[in-house]
Amino acid sequence: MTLILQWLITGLCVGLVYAMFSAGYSLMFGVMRCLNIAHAGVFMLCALIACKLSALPVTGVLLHAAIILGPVLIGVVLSYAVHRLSLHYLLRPGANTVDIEMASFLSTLGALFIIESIAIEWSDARAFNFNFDYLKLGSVDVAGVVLPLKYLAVGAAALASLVAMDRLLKSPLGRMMRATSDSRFLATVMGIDVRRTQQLSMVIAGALAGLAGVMIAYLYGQATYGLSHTFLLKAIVIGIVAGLGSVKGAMVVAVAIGVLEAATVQYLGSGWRDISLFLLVILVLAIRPEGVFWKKQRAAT
Amino acid sequence: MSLMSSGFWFSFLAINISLAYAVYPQALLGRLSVAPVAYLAIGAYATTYFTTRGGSFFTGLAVGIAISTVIGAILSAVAGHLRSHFFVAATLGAVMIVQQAAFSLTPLTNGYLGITSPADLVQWWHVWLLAILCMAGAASLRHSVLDGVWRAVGADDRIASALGISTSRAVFTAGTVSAVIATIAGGLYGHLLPFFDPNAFGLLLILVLAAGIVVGGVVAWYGPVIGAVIMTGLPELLRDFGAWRDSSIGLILIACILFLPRGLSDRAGIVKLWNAMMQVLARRKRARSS
Repeated sequence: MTLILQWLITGLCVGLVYAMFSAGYSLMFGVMRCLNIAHAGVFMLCALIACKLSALPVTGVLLHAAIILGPVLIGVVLSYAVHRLSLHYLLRPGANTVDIEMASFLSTLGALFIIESIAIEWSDARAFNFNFDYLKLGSVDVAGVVLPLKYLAVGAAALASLVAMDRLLKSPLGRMMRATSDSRFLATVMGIDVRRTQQLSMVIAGALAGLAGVMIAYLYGQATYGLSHTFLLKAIVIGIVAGLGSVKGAMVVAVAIGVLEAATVQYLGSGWRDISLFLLVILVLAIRPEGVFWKKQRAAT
Repeated sequence: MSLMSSGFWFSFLAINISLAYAVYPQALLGRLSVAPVAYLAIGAYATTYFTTRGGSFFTGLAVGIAISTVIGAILSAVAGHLRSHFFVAATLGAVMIVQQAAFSLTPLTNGYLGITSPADLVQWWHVWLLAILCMAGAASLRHSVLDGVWRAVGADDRIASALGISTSRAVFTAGTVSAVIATIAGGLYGHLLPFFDPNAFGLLLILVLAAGIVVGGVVAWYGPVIGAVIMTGLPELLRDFGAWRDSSIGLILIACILFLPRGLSDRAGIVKLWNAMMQVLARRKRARSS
């Protein structure tokens, strides 16, 4: 029983970080109908930067601010750059792209190659360690269940950002994004600047990826350029299983996948982690290829 | 990577060309498949399993082809109705499962420790023979009935089935051809590499393969060659330029998707792009002079 609680809670906390990552991914898909694979690269570079920043020779509030705000800022800038480089022209008015999902998948794959090569060159293909002097947290013992506090802290922070994201989607700004997601044509008719809204969704997703990068660097204690591949796979899995476009659906599936991973690692060994995920993907593709939470777009354009 | 400097890349190019032709049949069907990387792994492991134990290369190849075609048939049955990124995700799943199986089935594959394959069994011309056979096959296929059927399915599944073409059978045939080519390539690749482990068949190979087929395109039969030459040759040319090495692949991929979505083998598309560029330049010139 205590064992179950232990992996359940750590899996839940990691799943919440996955949820931050995939909420942004799903938001971008909803607003632009684009699969932004480079999101994983943005996330990975932010995790690397968080590790570097944790070794800064400053203390106190300044260090907290640097570690949290630095990657977020980089995430925003990088995400915007990805939009400029590989999606801006693809989404131009009057563009006649037959399969925008596939085209964006491949053009952002190009951006991912670029981000990865920068990361490999910068880190020399080595892992960066996170400096734990930044925030030392022990573990608590609740009725025999030993819980590492850092998981709980990260889980709480991730939950807070997800709630903030939900609030944002309900604000006038978020209404613009949801309207664009429902129908680009009708949104234009209502006077929404679709271009701006698309850039906004990229920027928000970039900020979330930056924060998630900090959290993963803190949880794992290190970061390598290989993180982008791990999270690329997770993005694909979550995108297929949840069905893209529904931000809440992506969050739910991401948390579920965090728990599923923790369970498979606990009972079957870490080699089974990716196998279980992809068996799930193939199952969903065979039974309900649109995804579990798929929402139909009202108008084609 | 040190292998690259010893002329290895010349044989590696032939492997990449064969692998691109393994993707070609399904790309004609409008389904970008990365499953050939899984078949490559199966071919490499099946043949080295026999040759390292004193068996015959061809026994291993037969076993590998049997396994690959079964996996290909399952994949066609489960994911054949999908297109676009859904199909990519399904085939990616197959590759990830095969890679993890290679990590886990240590009695057969030696897991993380990898396999040292017998040297000098496979020569560079074996690999090039396969590549040239693939090219000849693709070239002789053009204007054939099979090519027409595949391209019809690629254009639109529903219209093709209205014409009396069985989509599922087309997917199954293309998947089987793809499995056979990639498994043979895998057998040769496994012996070409002095040493390999499951990481050799990972995401990097998948991404480069997908990028190659997109950059080359499948409009003409020689599209996969163009893609494979660029994806193998460019990193080799830019070896001393650090981060530019892989960035160049990314930039070419982006440029192709944005301006030549059907790839470099699309001659009509190149002409159209050229004309559009000339028009833009002429307009600029007029604007400046007035």
